[in-house]
Amino acid sequence: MAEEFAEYYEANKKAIFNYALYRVSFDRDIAEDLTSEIFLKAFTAFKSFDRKRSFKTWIFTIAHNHLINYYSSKKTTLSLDEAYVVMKEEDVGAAVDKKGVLDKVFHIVADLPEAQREIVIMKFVNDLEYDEIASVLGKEQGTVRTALSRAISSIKAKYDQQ
Amino acid sequence: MINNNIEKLLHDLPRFNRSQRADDVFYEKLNGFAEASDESASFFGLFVRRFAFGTVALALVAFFATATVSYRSDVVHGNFLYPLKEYGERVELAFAFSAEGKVNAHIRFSDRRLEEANSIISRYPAGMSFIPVAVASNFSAINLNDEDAKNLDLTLSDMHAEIAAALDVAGTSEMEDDITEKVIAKIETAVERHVQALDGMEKRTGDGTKNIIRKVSDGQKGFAVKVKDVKEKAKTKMQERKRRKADIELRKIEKSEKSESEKEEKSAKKDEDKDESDQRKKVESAKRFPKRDRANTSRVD
Repeated sequence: MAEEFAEYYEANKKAIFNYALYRVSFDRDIAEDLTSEIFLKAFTAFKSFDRKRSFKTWIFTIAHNHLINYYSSKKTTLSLDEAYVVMKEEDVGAAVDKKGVLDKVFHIVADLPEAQREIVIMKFVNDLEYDEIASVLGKEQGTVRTALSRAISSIKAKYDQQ
Repeated sequence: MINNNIEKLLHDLPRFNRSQRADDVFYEKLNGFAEASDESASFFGLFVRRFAFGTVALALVAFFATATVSYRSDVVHGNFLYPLKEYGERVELAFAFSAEGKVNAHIRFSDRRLEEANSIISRYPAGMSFIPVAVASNFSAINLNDEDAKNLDLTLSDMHAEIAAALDVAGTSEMEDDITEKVIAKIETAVERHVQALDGMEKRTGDGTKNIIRKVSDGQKGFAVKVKDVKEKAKTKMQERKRRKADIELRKIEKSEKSESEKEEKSAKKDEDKDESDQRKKVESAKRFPKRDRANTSRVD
């Protein structure tokens, strides 16, 4: 069972780590710890995991619940420069080329209301589909689409202002 | 153009890798969890967790059933349930809070020991009962094997010890006079009952067993002296208490009489003082206004 779980862990650890990292204002140590806690929590419940379901949706649901209490106390954000410092070379990739533009977007996203920010992260950083996000948040797909659309409009508006 | 591509930019937001150190720590923890999970998934663990309520209920039923069974008189020294019986009695005694309760508990335990002694002897056939007792010689008497003889000895010694404990409580505890009399009477009755039963046992048993019984029976008879002693002590205590009570009453009366006479004395002295002061006032007044006062008075009149 542990071997099977390890496979799931390897496949999803980066997504959960980034989800946590974006949610806890890029405090890398906290994000690392939270990722471990999320996966260990998942492991203790792994027996009851229905293999017909998507593991990705399941682990994101656990992560969402785990971070609900955590997020509010960690509102401050690091600058993108500081975030880059903690990245490894291979993480940066193409992002470096558009650093100035991304920096603006990054800060706008960081300033979004939490509910909108979470959906944006799940959609664009974690590449989750609408139905997956809806399942994680326990909402209708339509509600998720509307919320995301509003978030993108808000980002666009703020981007134009700057 | 930037506005149109904002979603693309969002997709390009940086993704970070989890550190190797964090991975290592996680796997270490995961192994620990997996081992713990394997242990708890063992058959017994699974059984206990799945049927936790039933297991507890079953354990309780088993405990009470065993405790009840252990109170039977055929559970004697040497029986595997006997320690449970002893433990139960210790609990009973702990819950007897008053001195009277403790005496009653000790008497109850001594009666149980007697029943156990009877039970040990009753395991043996009663000999040839058709032979008249007067004619029957030792061959029809009950002779216990070594182990039973030892158990009988222990049981009767315990019976003796319980009565001694009851007497000790009765002799040392502070109780109301009527309760003291009541518990001593109970002990006396119990001792009589035991001596009678032991005599009966003695008649049924052979020489070896007879000696064990007689030793305890003599000890029980010896209690008569101790009971008398406790009675005497109780009587002395009662008289002492009565005397102290009477003393207190007497002191109270004396005190009240004394305070009464003091009051009277004070009142008399007060009257005397008042008379004296009145007299003094009159004299002084007469000195100050000798004739004019009288003249004024006669004019007004």
